[in-house]
Amino acid sequence: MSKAANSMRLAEPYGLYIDRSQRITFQFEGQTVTGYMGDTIASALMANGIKVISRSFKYHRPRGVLSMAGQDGNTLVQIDDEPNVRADMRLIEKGMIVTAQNVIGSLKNDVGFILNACSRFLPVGFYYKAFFKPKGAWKLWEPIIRRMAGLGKINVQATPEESDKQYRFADVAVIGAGPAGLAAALQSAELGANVMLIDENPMPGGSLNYARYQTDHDQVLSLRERLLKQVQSHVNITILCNAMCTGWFDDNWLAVMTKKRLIKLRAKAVVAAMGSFEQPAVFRHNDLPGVMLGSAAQRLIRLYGIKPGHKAVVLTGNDDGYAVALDLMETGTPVNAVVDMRANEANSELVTAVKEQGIEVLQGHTVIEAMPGPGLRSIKGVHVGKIIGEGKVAGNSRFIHCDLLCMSVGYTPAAQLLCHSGAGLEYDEADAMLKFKDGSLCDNAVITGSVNAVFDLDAVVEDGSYAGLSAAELAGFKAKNPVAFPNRNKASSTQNFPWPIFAHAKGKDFIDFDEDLQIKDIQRAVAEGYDDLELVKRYSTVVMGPSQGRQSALNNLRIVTKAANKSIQGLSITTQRPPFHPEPIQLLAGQSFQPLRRTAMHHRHLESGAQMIPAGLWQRPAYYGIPKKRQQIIEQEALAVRNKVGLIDVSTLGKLEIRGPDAAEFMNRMYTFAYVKQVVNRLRYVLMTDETGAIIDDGIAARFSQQHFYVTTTTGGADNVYRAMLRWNAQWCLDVDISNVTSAYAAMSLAGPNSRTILQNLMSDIDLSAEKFKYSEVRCGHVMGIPARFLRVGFVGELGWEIHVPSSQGEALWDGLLKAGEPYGCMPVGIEAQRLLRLEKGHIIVGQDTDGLTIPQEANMDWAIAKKKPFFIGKHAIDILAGRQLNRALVGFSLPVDTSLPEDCNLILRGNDITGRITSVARSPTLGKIIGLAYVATDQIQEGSNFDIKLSNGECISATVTATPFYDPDNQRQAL
Amino acid sequence: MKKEVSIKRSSVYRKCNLDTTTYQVLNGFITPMSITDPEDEIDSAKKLAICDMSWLPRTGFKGKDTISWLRAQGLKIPKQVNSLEKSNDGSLIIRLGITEFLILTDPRGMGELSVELNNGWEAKKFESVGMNTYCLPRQDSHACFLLCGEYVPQLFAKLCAVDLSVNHFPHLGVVQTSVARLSSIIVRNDLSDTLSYLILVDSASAEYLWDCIIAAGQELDGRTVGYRSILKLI
Repeated sequence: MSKAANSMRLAEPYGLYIDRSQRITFQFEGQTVTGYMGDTIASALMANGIKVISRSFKYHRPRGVLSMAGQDGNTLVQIDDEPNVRADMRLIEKGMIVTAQNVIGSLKNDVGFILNACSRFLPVGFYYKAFFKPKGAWKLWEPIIRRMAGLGKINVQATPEESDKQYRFADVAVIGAGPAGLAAALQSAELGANVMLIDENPMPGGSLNYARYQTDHDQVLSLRERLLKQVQSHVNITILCNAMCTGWFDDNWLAVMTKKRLIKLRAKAVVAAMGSFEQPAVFRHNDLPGVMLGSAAQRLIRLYGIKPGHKAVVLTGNDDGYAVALDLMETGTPVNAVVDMRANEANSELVTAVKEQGIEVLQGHTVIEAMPGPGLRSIKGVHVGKIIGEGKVAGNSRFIHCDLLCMSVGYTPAAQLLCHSGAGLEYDEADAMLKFKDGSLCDNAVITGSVNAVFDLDAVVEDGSYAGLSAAELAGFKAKNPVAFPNRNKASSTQNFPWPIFAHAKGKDFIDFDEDLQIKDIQRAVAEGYDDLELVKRYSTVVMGPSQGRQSALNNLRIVTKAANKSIQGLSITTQRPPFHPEPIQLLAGQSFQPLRRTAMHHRHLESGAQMIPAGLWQRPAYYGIPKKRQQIIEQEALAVRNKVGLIDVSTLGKLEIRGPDAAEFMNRMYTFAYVKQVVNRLRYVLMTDETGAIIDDGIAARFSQQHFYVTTTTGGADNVYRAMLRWNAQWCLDVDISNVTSAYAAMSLAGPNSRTILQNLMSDIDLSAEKFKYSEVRCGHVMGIPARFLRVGFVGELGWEIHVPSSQGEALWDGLLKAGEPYGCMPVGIEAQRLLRLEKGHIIVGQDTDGLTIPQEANMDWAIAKKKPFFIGKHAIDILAGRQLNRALVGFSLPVDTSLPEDCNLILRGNDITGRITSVARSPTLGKIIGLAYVATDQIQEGSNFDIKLSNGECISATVTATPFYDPDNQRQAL
Repeated sequence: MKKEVSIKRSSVYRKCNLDTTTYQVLNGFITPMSITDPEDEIDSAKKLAICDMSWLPRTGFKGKDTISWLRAQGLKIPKQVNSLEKSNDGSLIIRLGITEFLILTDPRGMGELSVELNNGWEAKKFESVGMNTYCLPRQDSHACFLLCGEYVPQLFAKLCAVDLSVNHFPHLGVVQTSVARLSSIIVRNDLSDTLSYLILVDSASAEYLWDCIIAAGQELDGRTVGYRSILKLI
């Protein structure tokens, strides 16, 4: 590989992308390579005469530059920890360490290359038929296959750099800054549209930067200069270079990837000017280093200032090949022949110019085979033969020396993004190319340039202007004066040779370079019955490699349809899915947004050593202390409430204001109980069912006036209940206002025998005595000067109040209550203890003791149903179900305290039959036994009877059905 | 401790609590006036800064009689949803729905409108005369932040899928949208020459959004500032 540094480098003005004043040195396969700032890895290697960049996936064949546009998988390399880097796109950096991929050993001495000689034993789909026999063989094969499979190597320890996302907006987005895109952007901007021009290359210009188009290249350069100057100076145009559009989603949502940012671009209209992909011809050894697309050679010359070879042959099926020949000659690369597949001589100035240079033109001929150099690392010439039919060549051939073969046999539209947006392709047999189906473009999308099958440069520019005008109009802008496009309809032409595929008896005529698939592989797949494109794809993996069919889809379509004896007219290629370019996952991740909710006392809980647990979006304190003492702490907290006093943060409960003349009627419809006659300043339990009668939420309703209810919901149910209320009242049209004030109020439950004393000491405007403030009553007043709502509730079965205050003052009240309660043994209590306390009272928790099908009768909640009401949501279903036999019922059960503690969801058994499950269970320090709630069969509910529980370890224990409440069955303590 | 008026706390008051922070009580809230060097904060506020304005007096009303009641108070009603009118004292009367309004004191002054309206709204009296106007506790249901400086649109571009750039979201524009997946009310209210946006979000999620804004603002050199620097920009 040792070559003189930059031996293939051309002098200026060639090398648009490179800065010759800045040399950069890097390592490739252990060799020091020097390039210039702006060089890609591939261009720097080519400049130094290094043609072999990596090896192929299956046969480990040497591979080099093919497209020089990041559109193929031939140049995937590894850079440090980063695999699958496209060497023809990635700029070189000082000290970069680059190695080849798919090698066992080194790029030069690859042991895996032996597979190339074994290819006849590895036909298409061989892996479906091998490795699994004899029994146990897979264990031997698996590690080998895993070592062989995959591309580069990732470092699982690598720490990705931070990246982020960004939303951007445009009236018109133009994808592709080639001649069509530039013209479109200008036209849209002239009409006043805000234009975003997106291009994956370092600078705008597209093919104007490298393609010759015509004999007088100066005219092309003048056009380029004019368009760029106008675009770059236009205030309405923003140019995004080095930006790859990777997906086109609904409503013109474009995913645009830059080095460190994923841009989510929303455009009113989109101009698709992404151009087309040049296609390879198919012949023996068409994959070797030295065989490249004509446009790749032109990119090397004009973008990077590199001679792509020493002696060339151009294989062409259109006039573009002649332009390539002229470029090669201009840069001192002799062209030994132009092999033109077309039977008839083209009458164009390009052809004439080539002939005037004395280059031999072989009309109606093709390359049959590229003759490999040592180790298949280069070519030393080509065999050329006369075409005598579709894919057929006359027997005699001629050898022509060359180390470079440029192919210009046709194009396929860069259709992927358009296909993401819903557009469809179909093969046009007359022009031998894929085109977009009429009417298949999504709303507000326009296509232009070669993606629209327009290739003549003047026509491309005019087509671009027309597209820009159309897009601006779609975005709501109007031209002041009519704009004429006289040549637009003359524009469409084909550049495709209809059948650039020439099978060779010895094979190695590759359709898909990524997967090393030859013509016979595709034919064999069809012969085995996979005669549909999608099936062939999955069986053979054609078009599934890194290039995603950019160079293989069209020829694959041709071969499959021919092998399956189908008409190709109107057929399309396989489904195109995002992303269009490889997307680093770190770019997709960016800053994540997972909203959280915290109560006003959240930090006080943390400061008190609380173990927090999620409850929907909220964080709630489970208990206060270290996990090792969890059970002990929970019991201490529960006993504090039973014997002294505890303070529980209940801010996460949903809180809704129901106000208006029809408030009571609304409550009556939403909930199962009766509310019309609910006394002002009193509480009432609320139970909500859905249309099927299933319990979906519960809480309490405080009536502050005839027209005002303050309702709580479960923590997780607040948003759903609020939405349901809005939805139902949109039908009922009751005169009621529904407001979700969950976050506006901090709420805490002060419960325990000492609660009254503590609270009364902090307030003066409400008498908390048992006579003046009874159980189930509510008041508005002040505590510590803070306006508050006091709800005398009994969820935990002790004397206590829920105190609801503005959230900005919640922390102050929490502090004040704990401080005032200190002499009375007040301590913060977590929700684990609260759950235990409510279990002792036999109160259910919706979602824990109910499931999505639980009806009130099953949960012993029929006391909460006002049966005389004409309507509430779910009443019809509940009435029907009331007449049927229940299948299960929720019962209390108990176990001796020293029994193994069952877990939630442990099964209830009768013999081998499952009859139910535990919904709640805990060891009660107050009662000195294990208590719980469980669904059992309806013949297992007899108080004092036993049923079996299967523990998580498989052991069965017998529990006794026990009446609830387990604690204070007469509810005397909460009424103190 | 009886009758003691407790100092109110913003949902994010800990975020501004440094040794160097100076405080003042505004509208009953303990409010950071400066967090580090006041002069530096003024410079930052011109580029990109966030200031906790949760103390800013505000209230809300909704119900079918709300428009007539507000008119009766001498207020001009914004014609469309997501638009605002300014009252004589500079307060912003923001229309969030057909019959829903947010009254927000302008950060420039200590307008009394929201307090006066709150005092004028009496639930029982309104109920007795059949007036369907209901007060909403906006002071506590929502936190309020002020984002200012020339880079605010770039910051929003990282957090919000709505175009809030200078040309598309004018001074005194109103939008209800999602910021970092959180429902938000955004009002552009420039401070003299400095671009400024007020953002109101669910107070329970205020810390979450604050952290998102700080993280997104890092690459733009955004920082937290006290209210004094905002006053200097007015």
